[in-house]
Amino acid sequence: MNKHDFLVILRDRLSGLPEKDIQDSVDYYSSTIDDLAESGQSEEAAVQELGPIEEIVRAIKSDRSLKEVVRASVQKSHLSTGNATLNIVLLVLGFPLWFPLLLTALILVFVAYLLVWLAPLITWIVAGSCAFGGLWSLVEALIGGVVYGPLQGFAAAGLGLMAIGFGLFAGIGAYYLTKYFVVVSAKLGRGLKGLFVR
Amino acid sequence: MDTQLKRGFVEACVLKVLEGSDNYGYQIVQDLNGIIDVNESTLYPILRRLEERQCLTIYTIEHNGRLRRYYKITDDGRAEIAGFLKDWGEVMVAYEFISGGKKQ
Repeated sequence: MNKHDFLVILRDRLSGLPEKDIQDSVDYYSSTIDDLAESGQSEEAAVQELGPIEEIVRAIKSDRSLKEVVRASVQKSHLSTGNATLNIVLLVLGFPLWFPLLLTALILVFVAYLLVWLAPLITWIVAGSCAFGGLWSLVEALIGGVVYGPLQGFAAAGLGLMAIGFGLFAGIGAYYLTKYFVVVSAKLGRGLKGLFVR
Repeated sequence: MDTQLKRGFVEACVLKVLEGSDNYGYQIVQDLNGIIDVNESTLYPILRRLEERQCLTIYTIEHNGRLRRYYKITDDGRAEIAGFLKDWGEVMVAYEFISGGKKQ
């Protein structure tokens, strides 16, 4: 493959990305092929040395944001008929079919995300209610101690301290769970991105 | 080598080359030959990332009737090298310990 053909294919595979990015890649590879050729090898050998074009495209795309990559894959996909009016008509006619499917997919993603966050959320709630209940119990201990006598007061205070202690433990647990699940969510996001970047 | 780890090394190597003098893609690959495994294609995304992080700037020079892109290191790029050396200085202490070269 010569330089011209290589650049034409590269430009085509990158179509959908912002023009600025495409031009930047084409400029770089054009200049690099010239440099390789100048060092004494043929244009074809220079192109060969750059490696498979699929690898090059993947490396460029994996660097772009998810939004740009999705836009590029949609524009490259064969879902399009190539005729804008026909596309719109089909889109409208197919609405009863694609809308529920899209909705289901979105709900599934949402549920998966929700499930991931449920564990830390519950732990936070437990921690919060224990701490709050404990503090309230201490207040009650003061009132109860005066109204019902010291025995009830001490019992309430002891329970309150226990609850606060448990709340603190749960709080520490919740903190680490949250940290862990931030990582899991990020992985989920990258997994979704992986569906589009091949 | 782990991809993320290698990327960090290549970035630092590229900045080190540019610290010596402004340079262009093909020559950077030549300068790193035998130091780290990188070719013109794997270099491109790395140069872009370094540019986005403002570790380098790009300018063009006419060469043999065409434009050749040169990369120039910035102060941020120099700071990046210093940061890399500091981080790996710490890692090397642990390495010495793990490899048994130095008793704790």
